[in-house]
Order: sequence, then structure tokens, then C-alpha cells
Amino acid sequence: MSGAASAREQPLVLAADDDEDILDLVAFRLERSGYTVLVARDGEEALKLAAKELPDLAVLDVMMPKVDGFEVTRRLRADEATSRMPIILLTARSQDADVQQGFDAGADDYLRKPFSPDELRARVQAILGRR
Amino acid sequence: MTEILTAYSLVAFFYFLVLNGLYLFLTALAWRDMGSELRARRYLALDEVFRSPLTPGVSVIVPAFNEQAVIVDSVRSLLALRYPRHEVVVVSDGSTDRTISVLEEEFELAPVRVALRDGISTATVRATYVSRMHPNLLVVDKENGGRSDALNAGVNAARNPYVCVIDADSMLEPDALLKVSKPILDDPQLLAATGGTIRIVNSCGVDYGRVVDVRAPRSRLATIQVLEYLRAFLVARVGWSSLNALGIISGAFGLFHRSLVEAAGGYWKDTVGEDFELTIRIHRHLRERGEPYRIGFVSDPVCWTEVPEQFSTLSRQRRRWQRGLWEGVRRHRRMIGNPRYGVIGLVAMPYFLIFEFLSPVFALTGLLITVVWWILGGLSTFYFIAFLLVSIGLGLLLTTAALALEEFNYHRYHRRRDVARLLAYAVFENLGYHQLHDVWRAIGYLDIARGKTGWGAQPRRGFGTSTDPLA
Amino acid sequence: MRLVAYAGVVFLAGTLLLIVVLVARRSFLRRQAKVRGELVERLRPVAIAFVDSQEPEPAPELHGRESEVFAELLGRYARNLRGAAWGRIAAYFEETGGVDEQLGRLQSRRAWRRATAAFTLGDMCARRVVPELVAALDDRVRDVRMAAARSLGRLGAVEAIEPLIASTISGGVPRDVGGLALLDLGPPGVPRLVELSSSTEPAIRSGAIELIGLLGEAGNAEPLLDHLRDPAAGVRTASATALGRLGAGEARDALVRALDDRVPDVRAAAARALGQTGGQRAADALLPVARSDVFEPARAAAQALARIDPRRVVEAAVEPDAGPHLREAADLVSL
Repeated sequence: MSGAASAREQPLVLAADDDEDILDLVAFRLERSGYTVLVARDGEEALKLAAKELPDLAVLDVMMPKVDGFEVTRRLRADEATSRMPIILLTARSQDADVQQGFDAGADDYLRKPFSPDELRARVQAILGRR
Repeated sequence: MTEILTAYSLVAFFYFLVLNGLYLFLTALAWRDMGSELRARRYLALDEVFRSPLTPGVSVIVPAFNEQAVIVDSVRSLLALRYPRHEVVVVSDGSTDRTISVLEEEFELAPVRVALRDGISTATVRATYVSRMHPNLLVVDKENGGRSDALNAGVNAARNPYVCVIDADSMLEPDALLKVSKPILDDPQLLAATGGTIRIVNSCGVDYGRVVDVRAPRSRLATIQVLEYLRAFLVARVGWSSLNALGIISGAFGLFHRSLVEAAGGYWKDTVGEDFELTIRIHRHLRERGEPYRIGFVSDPVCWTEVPEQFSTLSRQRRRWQRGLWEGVRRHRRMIGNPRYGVIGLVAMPYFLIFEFLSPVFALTGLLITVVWWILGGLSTFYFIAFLLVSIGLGLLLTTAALALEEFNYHRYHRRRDVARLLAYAVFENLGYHQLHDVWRAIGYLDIARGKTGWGAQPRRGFGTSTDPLA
Repeated sequence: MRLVAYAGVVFLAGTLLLIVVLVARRSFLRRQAKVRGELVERLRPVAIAFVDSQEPEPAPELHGRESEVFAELLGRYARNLRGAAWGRIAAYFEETGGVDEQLGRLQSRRAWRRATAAFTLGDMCARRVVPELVAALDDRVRDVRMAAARSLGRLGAVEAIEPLIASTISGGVPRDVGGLALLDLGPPGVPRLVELSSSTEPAIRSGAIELIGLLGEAGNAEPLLDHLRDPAAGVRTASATALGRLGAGEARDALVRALDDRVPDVRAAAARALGQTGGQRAADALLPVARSDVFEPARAAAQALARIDPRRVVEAAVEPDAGPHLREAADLVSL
């Protein structure tokens, strides 16, 4: 359990996507629902922020520059501090093999694009609500 | 004697008129076509192609010889391409450096006895590897056999219905594969092959295999080559493609039906211009089969590549391109002027021979005669200046038009300074570089006459672009 | 000869003119981009709040360029979204006349305008344009048809399934875009596809069967079994592929029989399908194919076997007559 989380008022969510529009939509909806959102525009930034801020959950796009979503997931899982961080992957790639690859990398959930921000919020709530 | 000279200079002048008239015509075609290609961006539906489960797979083939310095970045950028289903096939052509080792370290390669087709015969494959991290990365280690041979091995190994060939030191933009495939995906029966634009990466800011800051090169030679490439790709190829007479799909960025390459016999080993020759052979193959087809150029997708900055390297490259041109034209000489081969036989092939291959002859001798004549007093200074004005003026106009096409449609060079630099060098290009370039190509004739073959005896420094993309 | 001098001057003048135009255009565009950038920054939060599905905010009163920018933002967001926001986006575009404007452009004489309009309508979320888009599926220009198909898929226009199926199967609309649109529309298309799978044209049969594989479910497998014996090889291949996608266990025996088909592509498709349906009998049948068939079927069989029974592949690969594909599959298994 990431130590920093228990000290926070609002759960912290990391959102990573190179598409500004997606980041806007995700951040807006999650912030309105009572989360603090950190944004990253590529995999490298996502890893840095995750290591530094230890968010309670990460929403990652798969196709990102520098380090893609699958690789970010793998690295987060490999690191002790972030290995239990819930991860939701977000992507336009929706074929079964891609979903499988996501789960193999260690993701907890997978959301296809085009997506419903409301559904994302519901899934985030479901995961964080359990904690 | 004077009659012969006069006659000759008339011929040279006429040649010059036709050639430049043709360029102007191609420029006009390019203006029209590029406009419609850009308007099409609004409804291209690339996102849908990316999401569709019916989009066929593409195998990206990367022939590599001693590319340890650049291969990892290149493969990284290829693995990150936005395409629903693709694989990267690196073919090491008997590299003597650590090309395979660096790939092994970076991508966790494991030896896998990949079954390879024997559709095209190649030099022996020593080993094959698959990456544990990226199961769609395949590395083939084979005995040295040349770039054509490496490409053929890649075509044998490819597991998808389409193959995209690219150089080991090049970088594709993330959407480039989607964009260059789009015409074929829209009409796979008609489209046999497509090619994309090659741009110069010298002095550009690159991060993780992506160009993030486009700049005009600091090197003078590279700056002039930017102009050459803009004319070659944004004008010439767009223009020829609109006439359905595209004679070259560059080996640095081309997409083909895999089965078609195999059926046509694969790349030809005995040439340094294997991409040119294959394109012509595919035209021939399809025309002989009698089915309607199209080979198209797409100006939007970009492959970034590095160009030589030194005179010696550049001159070697251009001489090689001349040889490649000759070898391809000679092999398919029966197509020249032959109506059986449609616009390729009647227009493209004669163009390559007369206006590409032979242009140094007319250009240099024409220049020489005019200068000598003027010095000898046979030509008045007024007319000499007029002659210079026309040739420089026309050259400037064509280059500025190409730059305008780039500015209007793509606007990649954000800094005013860079565009100004390019414009300035357009002038310098006409005053010296162009002539020097013709001299290099003329030396190419000597190479051909001496029977020079292959890539030269000197130690190879990687492939670079094998055929004149400026043809 | 004087002409030559004049020509030179003309060319130089032309060059200078072009340069002037370029410079002027750049300054103009720069200013425009700046203004636009400011507008986008200001309107972006408004647009996001507007499309929010839970606590949306009302649309602002906008005119002229602001209205254009806002519309563009909405279109971009619509492209990424599914769900409740749609009704509001559609209402906005109706009220501001955007939908009517695009419908007008759909009738333009210029193909690119029609195509752009057909595409844009898909981002406006307005269901009432479906009939016009369906009509656009018969446009004489391919790009227009493609854009219309894409938009029909985006709009979830289930009522357009039949014409969309017809266009996709006939090749009027590219397979990838048409197929995706149908996938977005879902199972309601299946009955029509089952009808078409009995067409007299082999191309239509195979196209329909391929789509059944994508849109259907296990219950649709039954009629496909007969098509495994269709006289046209393309249809047999499509059937095998579809059966694999549907994951139909009852197809196993028929697929095993298809491993003896005289056409290699059919054998390969049957092998791939068996890899997805699984079972011991399938594994037994796949082994000889993986060992000794020609390239494509043998490869498919070896990989299928690796999915069903990896251990068997590893065992079989060490035998001397294993063949290259089993060895490859074994190496991949132990990866």
C-alpha cells in the first residue's frame, strides 16, 4: 500500500497520454469527482511522476512516446514502491491480443477508446473504493 | 566547325528547354495534387484504420550492415509506430561490428529457429532471433550478400502480407506507416506499391527516435541537399505519381505487397540501384500481366534520414546513383519507347535515360561551349549574360516553387531564419554546386565504363540511400 | 535571342514574387495562428465542461470565429468520447445550424467537400443525418463512401447496417473502415450477413462470412460449417477463419476435415481456427500438418498446436522429422 496515500485528503491519480484532448477530458472528470490529477505527456514523464509522487492509481495510454504504456506498466510492477499501484490502460488498440498484452504486463483494467469518462470514473472509484 | 558548334548548342539549348519545361509541368501537377492530398487529411480516418481489426499487417524490413551506432534508435522508433499490427524485421547482412549484440542487449533477443520461406534465394542465414520484450521484433543474422540480398532475406522472413522497406539509419514518424499504407488499404487490388517523403534530419533535434525540432542543417552541403530532396520528393515524385509514371519507390521508405516482390523475383543483387530497378521491374511485371495497377507516392508521411556533409562522401554517393540508374535502365532497355509499357515505357524510361542519366553531358558541354565561345568573342557579353540569367533564373524559380510547396502545405521549417537560409542557398546551388554535381555524375560515367560494380572496395559504413531519390 | 534575356528576367521576377508571397503569407498565418491559439485556450475549458456527462455546463452564446473554434473543439472531443455527452453535442450542432451546413456540403459538386462533410457529420453526433449518409454510401467517389461509412459507424446507426454491409462486401468501402463501422454497430447485422452468406456470388459469400466472424457469436457457427465445403476456396478460407474467431467447439471436427483441403490457404485458415477452438483431437490432427505441409499451413498448424498443447510441441520438435515450423514454435514456447 503506497504510504503517501493514507496521508492525502484526496486520492491522487496519474494520467498519462500524449493526446492533449484525452488528458483534458480525463483530468476534468476525475477532478470533478474528487481526485487530484497529475498529468504526464509521455512514458518517461509518467515514470518519473509515479516514482516521485506515488499516486494511488495510474491511467495510462498505451501509444505514448518515449516509453509506451505496456512498458511503463512493466516497470511500475518491477519497482517495489509502485508494484501494487492499480493501473488502468487506455487505448484505441482494442484487439484481444492487445488486451492480453496489457494484462500480461500487469495492468488491472483496460478501457477502449473512444471511451466514456464517466465509465473511467466508475472504474477508478471501484478500484480505489476498495482500499 | 562553327556549324557543328552552333548545331550542338542549339541541341543543348533545346534539351535544356524540354527538361525545364518538364520540371515546370511537374511542379504544376505537384501543386494541384498536394492540395488535394492535404484536403484529404480532413477525412482520412487514420484513427479508424488504426482501430480496425481488418487492417492487414505490415512487416517493416531493415537491412543493416555495421549499424551498431544507430540501429537501436531506429528499431525503437519502428516498434513505436502507430499501426495496429506490424513487425520489425532487422536483417544484419554479415555485420562485423556489434550490431547484433547491441540489439540483443537492448531488446532481450532470444535465439529462435524461425522458419524462413525460400521464395527468393539469398546468402545463408546464420541465426534468427526474436525479442522477449517485443515478440514482433525479429532479427535475422545472415552471411554478407549486399543490400539487395538482405532485403530479400527480409521478404522471405516477413510474416505479414505487406512489407515496408527502410534504411537502418532512418527514422519514421509515428503515423508514417499508417499514412503510406492508406492508399493500398483503400484499394489493395489496384495499388501495388507506395512510397513516402524522405527528409533530411541533419541538425534537427531528435528525442527517442522522434524528430522534435525541424531545422535547416548547419552544414552547407546538407542545406543544398535539403533543396534537392524537396524538389525530388515534393515536386518530382508527386508529379510523376499523378501521371501514374512513378519510376522509383525509394528503398529508404517504400511499401509493397510482399507476394508481388516475391513474384517479381525479389531485389536484384547485381546493382547498386536495387530500389529503382525493382520498381521498374514491378511496372514491367504488372504491365506484362495486363492488369490495371497503380504505384503511388504519398507526400505526407515522412522518413527522416541523414545525408553526407562532406564532399568526398557525397560525390561517392552521387556517382553510385549514376551507376544504379544506368544498371536499371540497361537491364530494362527494351521498355524504352515501347508502347507496351504504357506511360512508363513511353515517358518515364526515356526520361530516365535522356534527362536523368545524360543530363551532365548536355549541361557540362553546353556550359563549356558557351563560356569558350564568349571568351573567344563569338558570343556577345549581352547574350552570355542572358544565357546565365535564364539558367539561374529557371533554377531559382523551380527551387523556390518547391520551397513554396513545402511552406504552403507542410510548413515544417518554423523558423524564418531556416527558410531564409534555404532560399539563400538556392542561389548558391545554381552558382557552383549544380555544376560540381554534374561533374561528379560525369565521373560516374567513367566508373561505369571501367566496369566498377558493387559498393566499392572501401570498408562499408552502412548503406545510406542506394539510389538517387532525386531521379 | 533577346527573347532569352526576357525569359531570364521573367523567371527571376517570378522567383521574387513567390518569395514576397511566402513572406507575406507567413506573417499573416502567424498572426492568425496567434489569435486562434488564444481562442482555443479560452474556449477549451468551456468545451470540456460542456461535454462532461455528469455535471455539464450549458453551451455559451458564440458567434463567428469563436463559434467555429468551439465547434472544432467539440468535434475533436466527440471523436474521443462515447456516451451521454453525445446528445448535448448533437443538440448544440443542431441549434447552431452546423448540421444543416454540413448536409448542404454533402451535396457539393466537389468530391473533397462531400467527403469532408460526410466525415464531419460523424463527429456531430446527430442521428437524423443517417439517411443522407446512407445515400452517400453510393457516391461515385470512394473517399466520400468511406467517410460516410466511418460516420455511420460512429453514430451507431444500426438502421444503416444493410447498406453498410453491402458496401463493405462489394468493396465500395475499404474493408478496414467498413468492417470497423460494422463492428461498432454490432450483432444486429448478423441475420442479414447470414442471408448474404448464401449468395450466388462467391465474393459476397466470403465477405459476409468474414464479417460474421467479427460480429457474431458462438451460436452463429452452425451455418458456417456447411460453407467449409463450399466450391470456392476463398469462401472455405473465410469460413474457417470465422469459425476460429467465433470459438465454436462444435466446428472442431469439420475444421479437422478441412486440414485436408487441397488449397493451402484453406488448410492454413483451418489450422489457425483449430488453435482457437482447441481440444485434443485438434492437436492430434495438427501435428502431421505442422510437420510436413507446405509453408503457410505448416506454420499455422505449428503455432496453433503451441496454443493448444505447448508441451507436445516441445516434445515433437526434437524428433528428426519435426520440420522447421515445429522447431520454431517450440523455441517460441520456451521464450
